[in-house]
Amino acid sequence: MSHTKAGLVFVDDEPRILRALTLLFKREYNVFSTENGNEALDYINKNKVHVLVSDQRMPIMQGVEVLAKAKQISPNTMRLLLTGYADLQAVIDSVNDCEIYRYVNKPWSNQQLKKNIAEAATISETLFGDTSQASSPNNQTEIQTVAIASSPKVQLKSAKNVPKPAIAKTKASILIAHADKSYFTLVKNAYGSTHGILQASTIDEVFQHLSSSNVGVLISNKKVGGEDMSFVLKSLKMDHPTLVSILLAQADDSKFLSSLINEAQIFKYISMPGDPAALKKAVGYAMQRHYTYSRNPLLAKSQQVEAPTELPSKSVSDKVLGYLRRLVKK
Amino acid sequence: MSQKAKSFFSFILIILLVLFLLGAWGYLLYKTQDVDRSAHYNLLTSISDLKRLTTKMSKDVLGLRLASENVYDELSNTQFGIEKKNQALHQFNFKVLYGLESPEAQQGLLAYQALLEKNSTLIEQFKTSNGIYSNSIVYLPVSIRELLSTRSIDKHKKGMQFRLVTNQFLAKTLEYSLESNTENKNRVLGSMEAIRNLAKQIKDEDVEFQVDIATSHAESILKYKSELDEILQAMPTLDTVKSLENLAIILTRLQENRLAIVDRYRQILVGFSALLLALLGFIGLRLRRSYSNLQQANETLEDKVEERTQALRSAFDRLKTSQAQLVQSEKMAALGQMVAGVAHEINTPLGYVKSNVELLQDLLEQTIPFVKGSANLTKMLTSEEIKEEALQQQIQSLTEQSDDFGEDGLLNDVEDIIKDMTFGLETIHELVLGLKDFSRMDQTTTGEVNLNECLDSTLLIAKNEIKHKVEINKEYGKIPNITCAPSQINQVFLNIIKNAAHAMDEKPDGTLGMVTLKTNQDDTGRFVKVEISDNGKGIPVELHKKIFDPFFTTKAVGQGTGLGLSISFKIIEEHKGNLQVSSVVGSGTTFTISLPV
Repeated sequence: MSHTKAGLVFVDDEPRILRALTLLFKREYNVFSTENGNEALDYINKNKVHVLVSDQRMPIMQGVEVLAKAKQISPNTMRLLLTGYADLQAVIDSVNDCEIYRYVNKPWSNQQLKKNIAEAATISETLFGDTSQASSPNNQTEIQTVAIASSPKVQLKSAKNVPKPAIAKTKASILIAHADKSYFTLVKNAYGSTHGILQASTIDEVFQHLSSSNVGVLISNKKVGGEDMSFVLKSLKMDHPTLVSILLAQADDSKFLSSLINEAQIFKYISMPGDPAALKKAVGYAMQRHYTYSRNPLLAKSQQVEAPTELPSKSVSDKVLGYLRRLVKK
Repeated sequence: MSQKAKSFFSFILIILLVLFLLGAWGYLLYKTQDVDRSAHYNLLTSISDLKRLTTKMSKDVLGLRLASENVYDELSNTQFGIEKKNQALHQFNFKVLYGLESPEAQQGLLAYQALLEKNSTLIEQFKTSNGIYSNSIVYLPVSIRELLSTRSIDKHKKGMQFRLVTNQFLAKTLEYSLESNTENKNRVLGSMEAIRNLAKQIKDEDVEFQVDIATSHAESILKYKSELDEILQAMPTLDTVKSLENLAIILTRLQENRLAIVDRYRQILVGFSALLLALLGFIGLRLRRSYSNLQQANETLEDKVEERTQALRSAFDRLKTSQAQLVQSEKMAALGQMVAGVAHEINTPLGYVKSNVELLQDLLEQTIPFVKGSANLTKMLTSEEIKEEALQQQIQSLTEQSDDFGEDGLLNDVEDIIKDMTFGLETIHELVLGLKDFSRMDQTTTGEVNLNECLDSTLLIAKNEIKHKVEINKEYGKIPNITCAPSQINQVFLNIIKNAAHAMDEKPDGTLGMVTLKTNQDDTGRFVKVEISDNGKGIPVELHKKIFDPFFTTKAVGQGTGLGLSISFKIIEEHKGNLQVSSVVGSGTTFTISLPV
């Protein structure tokens, strides 16, 4: 390959794991591995790192903390959590604070891990703007994350060169698919004056709104109208990469949550009943993120998802298929 | 105010109220006492007597005029009677009789008195005047007889005339005494003149003397008759009677008033009595009702008690059940935690073993063709015919491959890979062994074990929980095997070691805490001691007993059931052993487990 190897960092407290990973990737990437989270962050600060892979349970610094700090230092670095065990709270934090790309269990499959990291590296390269395919001037991305670090690695300096986006900035709507009406009221009060607020009580209604309105943010429960929403969320992400979804549900299943990370790239997870202030903030960030994706389709690409592993119930899959078919017709 | 004082106070209040009511009733009763009608009746009788007597008195007085001396007695009697009655009248106390001072009655009485006085005075005057008058009336005819019996009259020529005139004079005077009017009076005066004139003509001393007497009688008759008439006129008999009547009316009215008042009081008394009776009845009813309530409550009390006891009993049973459930779930939770920890522990070596296996697989995929190619090459080189082209091709291909190889350096790493894999598999093996040891499912429940081994297998299980929190310091002594239920003992060790690790959760300086495991045999040789110490925050003295209580925990809600130590204590107790704690706050804690050999 013509371009230089992508930068890859592994953090784990078991040296043999690090050895195995290094051996696996050293041919194709610039690998840096350490048992110390601080060292890793230091390295990221000083070098261009495309992918960061970390374990969760470590003595010096927990994985989630490493990833969250890395997000601030180098937002274009894709983040993966590779862990043998993570409690539910860690998984939630990995979604909300770290915005991880993938959640991988130990023991992993070499093939799968290689694929994930390759994808991540490509996306990261796009974000950094150093792939040879870079054609659109829009590849200088603006990341509107919260609390931007002052590190020089942040790409804001190239914002000056960003031409104005050709797409008209139409105000997107917020769709709430949740049985509890109080959330609708909350969001309406907070954002009703500036954005359209839509309500859906069944999956059919969700699709109706998606096809008729420009929905930027989707707030959903695990089940809507009695039917499982996870498959819908996963399918939607594949076809609507700019749609930012927030899961507002009861915190009880880390497996479910991790599948949503990998297959639906949910943006935020809020456990019910949820702090109204936190929900408001999350919606705000989600809307910002949606605009970012709309302006920079390449950035939206970073939202690439895996094909779902679990098959949904027939009715749900029918509905999704129906919707997608309609989409295709448009 | 305390309850007792309150009730005492209200009791006093009730007593006072009752006394007041009784007093009021008594007062009313007193007020309705029968009015002394007899006294009033006597009074009225006296008054009517007085009326009668007064009338009689005037009659007597009249009689006096007309009759003889006997009447004086009558009059005196009457007067005396009046006097007596009057005195009696005065003795009546109006206040006593009628319940009030009546100024009206007083005045009436005084009025009557005044009239009586007047009457009496007049009567006296009358009596005096009447005396003289009566005297004259009586002696006038006598004196005239005397006069006429004088001889000298007959001797005189005018003797007949004189006799005539004298008889006329007498008759006229008597006429006047009967009907005293001016005409008669003048006739008498005329006669008197005539008589005097004639007497002068007769010129007799006796005659003159008798004539003087007679005329003086006649004069006194004239005088006193009119006086008597005046007196009679003036006597206020009617008024006196009227005043008495008035008085009687007043008194009667007083009496009526009094009666009316009494009547009213009587009515009030009746009403009040009815009220009291009603009150009594009401109280009686209430008492009866509360008494019947008491009866009822008494009867149902036994039933209620039995009911309550039943309820309590079943509640107690439920509580015991849920306690047992809780103990069980604590065990399950501990087990679950442990299993999750061990699963995680196993995943790590599995991770790199699996990855390395796949690496080796890839490597082999490359190596085998190369080896085959090398063999081919060798064959080619050692064959009879060396085909240059084929040889070149083979060398080329092998060179390319070896380039790939060389770059990799993966072949060089194979040694490390195998070493790691072996180590990883060994780790997994140990963990599984540790699980077996811990649960001792493959052995009978009780067995002979060495506690050092138990501690080690426990450490293995706990590794996940404690590895980043504490350092382990082992000071194992030489200890004999003991008979126990190793799975249970391991449970105790695990609990205490976990507690020790948690006690050092919050070390501010980031250094790891230290858990020391010491085993030795005690001095008597009958016990084996295991000391598990930490240098954590310690346990205050007042809690040393409490920590073995079920459900006692200093952890936050949801962080542990508080059953760990109580179960541990029970296990050691059942082994006839000893579990003790010694601790200094801020310094550390040591749990000492002694088990009999």
